[in-house]
Amino acid sequence: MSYRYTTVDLAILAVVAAVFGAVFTFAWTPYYAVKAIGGKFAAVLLTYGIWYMAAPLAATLVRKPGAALLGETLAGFIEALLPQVGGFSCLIYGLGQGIFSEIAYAAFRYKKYGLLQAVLAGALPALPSLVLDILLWSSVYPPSVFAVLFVLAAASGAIYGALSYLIASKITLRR
Amino acid sequence: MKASPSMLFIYGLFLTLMAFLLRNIEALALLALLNFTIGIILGGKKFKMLLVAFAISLAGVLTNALVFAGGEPLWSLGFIVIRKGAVRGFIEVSLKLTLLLSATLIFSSLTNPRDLLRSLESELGVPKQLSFMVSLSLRLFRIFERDLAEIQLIRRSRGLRVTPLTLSDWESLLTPLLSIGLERGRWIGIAAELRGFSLRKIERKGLKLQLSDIALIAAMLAQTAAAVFLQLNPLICWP
Repeated sequence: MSYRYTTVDLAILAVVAAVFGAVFTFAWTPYYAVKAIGGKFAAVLLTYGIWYMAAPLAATLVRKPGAALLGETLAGFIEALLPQVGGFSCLIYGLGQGIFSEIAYAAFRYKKYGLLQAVLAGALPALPSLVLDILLWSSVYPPSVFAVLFVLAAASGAIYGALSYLIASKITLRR
Repeated sequence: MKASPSMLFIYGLFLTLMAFLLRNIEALALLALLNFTIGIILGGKKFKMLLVAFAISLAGVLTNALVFAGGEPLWSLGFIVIRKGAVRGFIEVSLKLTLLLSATLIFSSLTNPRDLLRSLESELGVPKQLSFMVSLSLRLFRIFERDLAEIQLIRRSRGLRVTPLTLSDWESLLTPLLSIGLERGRWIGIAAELRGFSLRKIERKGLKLQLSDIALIAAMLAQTAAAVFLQLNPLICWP
């Protein structure tokens, strides 16, 4: 397996980052819509995984070490460069989530880029995301709420990780 | 005399890290009010919508604090019970969000992503592959936003839900977006390679500090010192 990134690989990662930069900005609408109808927990379960999708998608498409980290971090970086309320925190979240998604592929020595790895790459970012949430929000939410949020975020990430694998496979098959 | 975009980026990151790490209300208040004032002076007019969005997010923080925060009840207004934790929580999180917003206001008012990339590449030595990806993403971002709006329009005309809520909604939204995007990406990659991207050499200038950059470094040091002092010697004893 080649570990060297070609210019086309870089361009594909840039596309994933740009698409998810746009999707991340757009995803706040469904997040708030679900939150208004079903509350915070339903919103986390149904939408949080969207913010973890860039990594499994980038890794499934490029299939090289570092692709998950680059895909997620770049998407966070693009989101951070656009003037919005979260500011540079998106980059920090993106980096943390990217590192943990990368672990899912590194654990299989970058030999497998299947559904299981995508599910793990979707679920694992819930951990850094929770730690960063605790740093920002700990004075509002009690630990019991954070525990529930973690489980829901990991479940959501796993579901959207699987979805990103299916989308990537579908697109690859068309070519 | 303009500050280096790289230095402004570092300053923005510094404020963001402070928002994550600080827990002392006075330290947060000092940094947030100082930087928010600068941010408003620099970009208050330009980013009015951002300020509206920020006000809405504060309302969200208040709701979350009222619902989730614990502690003894302080006031009871009908069915709304305001607890001790809610007051502290709301103030702390609001200050943290103010600090995050200030970083965006200051950075976006004084520079732009394109100058930042040029500066990161030539002054801080960021690899050309990384800056290629980021600059390409920024260029493609607006195109994908337009594509996303077109897909939404088509979904609406077919009687599908405009705001995606289910997995199938997301799948039908993302598949065409990525399908078009990857085709574009592939050809952009080939075109860049044909124009000799791999052979391109970067002229590294190194970071030459201007007076404004030194002022930013001094501001970071002073704010760190003040925050550490207030963290160790709190003025008010919060519950």
